[in-house]
Amino acid sequence: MNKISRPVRLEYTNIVKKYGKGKKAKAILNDINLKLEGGECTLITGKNGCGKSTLLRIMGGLLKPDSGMINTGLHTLNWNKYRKAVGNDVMYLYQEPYMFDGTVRENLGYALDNKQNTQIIDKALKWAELEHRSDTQAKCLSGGERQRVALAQAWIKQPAVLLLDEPTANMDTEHRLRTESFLSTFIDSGTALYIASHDPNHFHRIMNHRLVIKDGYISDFNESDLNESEHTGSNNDQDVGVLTGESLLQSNKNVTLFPQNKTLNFSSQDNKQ
Amino acid sequence: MQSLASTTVDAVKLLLSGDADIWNIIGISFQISTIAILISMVPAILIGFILAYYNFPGRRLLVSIFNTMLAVPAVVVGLTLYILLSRQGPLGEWRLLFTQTAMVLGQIALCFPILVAMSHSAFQSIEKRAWDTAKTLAANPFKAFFIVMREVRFALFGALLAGYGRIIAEVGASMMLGGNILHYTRNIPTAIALETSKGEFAQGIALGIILISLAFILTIGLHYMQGKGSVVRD
Amino acid sequence: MFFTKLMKTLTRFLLLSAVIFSALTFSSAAYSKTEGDSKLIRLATTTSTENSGLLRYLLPEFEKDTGYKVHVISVGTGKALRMGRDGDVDILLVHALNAEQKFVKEGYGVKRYPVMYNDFVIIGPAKDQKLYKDAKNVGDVLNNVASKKMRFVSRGDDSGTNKKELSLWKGSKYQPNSKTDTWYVEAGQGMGKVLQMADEMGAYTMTDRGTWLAYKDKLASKIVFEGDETLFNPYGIIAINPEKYPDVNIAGDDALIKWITSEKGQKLIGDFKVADEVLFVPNADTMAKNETVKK
Repeated sequence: MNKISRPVRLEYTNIVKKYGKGKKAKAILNDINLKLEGGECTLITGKNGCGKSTLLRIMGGLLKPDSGMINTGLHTLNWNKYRKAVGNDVMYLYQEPYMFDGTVRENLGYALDNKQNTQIIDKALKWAELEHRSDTQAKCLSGGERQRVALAQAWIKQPAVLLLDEPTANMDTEHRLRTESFLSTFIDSGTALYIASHDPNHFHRIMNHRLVIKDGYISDFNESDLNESEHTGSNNDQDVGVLTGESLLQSNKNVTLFPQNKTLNFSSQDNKQ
Repeated sequence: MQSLASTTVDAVKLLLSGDADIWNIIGISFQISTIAILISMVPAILIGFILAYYNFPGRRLLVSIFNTMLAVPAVVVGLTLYILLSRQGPLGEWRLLFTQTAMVLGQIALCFPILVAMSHSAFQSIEKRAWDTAKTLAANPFKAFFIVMREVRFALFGALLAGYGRIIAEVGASMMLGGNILHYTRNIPTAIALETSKGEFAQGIALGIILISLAFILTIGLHYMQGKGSVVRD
Repeated sequence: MFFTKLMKTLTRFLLLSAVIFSALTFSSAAYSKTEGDSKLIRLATTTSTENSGLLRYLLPEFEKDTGYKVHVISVGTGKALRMGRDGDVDILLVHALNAEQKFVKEGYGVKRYPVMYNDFVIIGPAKDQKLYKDAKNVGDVLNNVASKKMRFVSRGDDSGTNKKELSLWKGSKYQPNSKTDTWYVEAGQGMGKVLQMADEMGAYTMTDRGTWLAYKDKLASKIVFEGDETLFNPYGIIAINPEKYPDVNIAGDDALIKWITSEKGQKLIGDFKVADEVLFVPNADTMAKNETVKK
């Protein structure tokens, strides 16, 4: 897999999402601030229903937030522009990926640009260890195989941002580790990875940052969160970034974190300087 | 009164003898209805798709409008277009009344709501996840549209068959708009109406046989597509 | 790969439909521009001329002689007159003398030319045939039908035949009313349908001779009265007034009128037979009775 040519830098500011209308509206996300950077893996944890999936769906352009700002560092994108850009640069993977009617090979073909040749499908099949399944009906695959098809699609598309919603739910340790090693390929090639997981201990080998959503706010993960979620065995050896959105955006570090020469913008239209 | 059996025998003889008039009528029928369905197909499927996956103000109203149009009798559609196309009507300048184009317009008006309603439900029949996945995978929304269109292709073919079935057998609008002109706008249903009124039952039945065979093929096709569709949806 | 194949097929399909559509619009546009303005004549006529086969026998000769193409739209006389009034056709060949004269007087038609006439007959159940042996005129027949409340099927569709029938009732002692007289049935159908209905119901009706001849072998009914002069049914041809509708094909209209009233056209009409019987008597050289048209 080639190094992707467009490492991304994105900032999401003051993202709010409510469910319901009028007075009955209940905020599931309250003022979320975070940023994305290519080549890094961020784990978002939190209890079931805390808004992890909602946040990921917003980032994937599938769900419109009630308010908020999305910034490439140079430009502020409105929602429609963001959604357009998402089509090519951000990829959202469902917990149970949807397989289209047709063979695995045909499903991978949907991820192709018109220009690309079909040889890349063979490479993707090989990468995802699905060669023996290439002519199987995708709808007949097991859950783990479906996920690998989805990962192979991502491998073909090489998105700048890859969002995964509980990718290893219901998996045993062996399969989880296997998925991790697939995911590390993306990190190595410069994709920004965002993984939502109810278990804060998963993915500790590949993650750079760990965040937690609680009561609609996002914050840095700490040990008290761990106790609360009743998991043991923290991973202190990991580089847990201090990435509370607000503090980061307001600090001067911002500049050093995103040197201009390294930054390419999200949407080519916004790229004109 | 001749017996049904002997009339039917006459009808079959008439068909086999390659009676030029009859085959001309059959040709006109298929030509006009095929053109009508080809023209309606693309915009109708697009509208069905947009109604299924995009939320915009007036969407529900639009859905009800198309559902209401489904129930509008063909003669009313025919009469409305007749009034529009007549020289006294707003589109009279086009001089389209009693032409094949007028018949095509009438049949488009008849099959369009069917195609919209059925493709709408076809797109609705698959999970929202499918459309979201297609959007993530495809380079542009247009390509994503083709991906989900392929996913529901059997249901869409079914919609086309149902639409075709309605217009090929429709008499009211064709009679009014085409004028039943021999070798020009006389199609199977208007010819049946005419031949029956003339007492030429053999001709009427010969054309009826063609329509029944077609209906049979369409129904089998529809059945097959629906069967396929349910397997696909799984 | 299926998807690319599908894309290709679809693109081809779209292109094809686009081509067909443009070809169709083109050809119909061409039709209405070139053919329509010069070579196409739209003739609205009554079902009797079309159903009897007269026009299919006559018009190919006209088309061969002059190079015009005639599109025949056969409807009831009332509808045909309406089409003429709306300018949706170029010329009318109908049989409702009073309505035709009114049509010309109001300026919708240029002039009415007599073409031919046929006659109407009264048909009824075969067993009643002897009842009317001595009937002097059609009024006697209708009086008898009304007084005995025998079933009578009327076209009830404002056609020329229907108008004729109503005028015959005016000459009788009784004016039937379909609301109160259960024996008097308004069918709202064409002549052939009405004949079939009358036959099934054992009822009387009035029909033009042409339709009767086409049907009589299939029906049990018989002619109970014929030959009264009031039963004559004159056909006239009227060009739509180009002063009302400038794009009426008046040249084509003139050619058709000239041809149909010519010696050749008139002879062809006189020679036309159904079941070995002459249906229409040409009368272009005589002005129809009561006709007052300025020369």
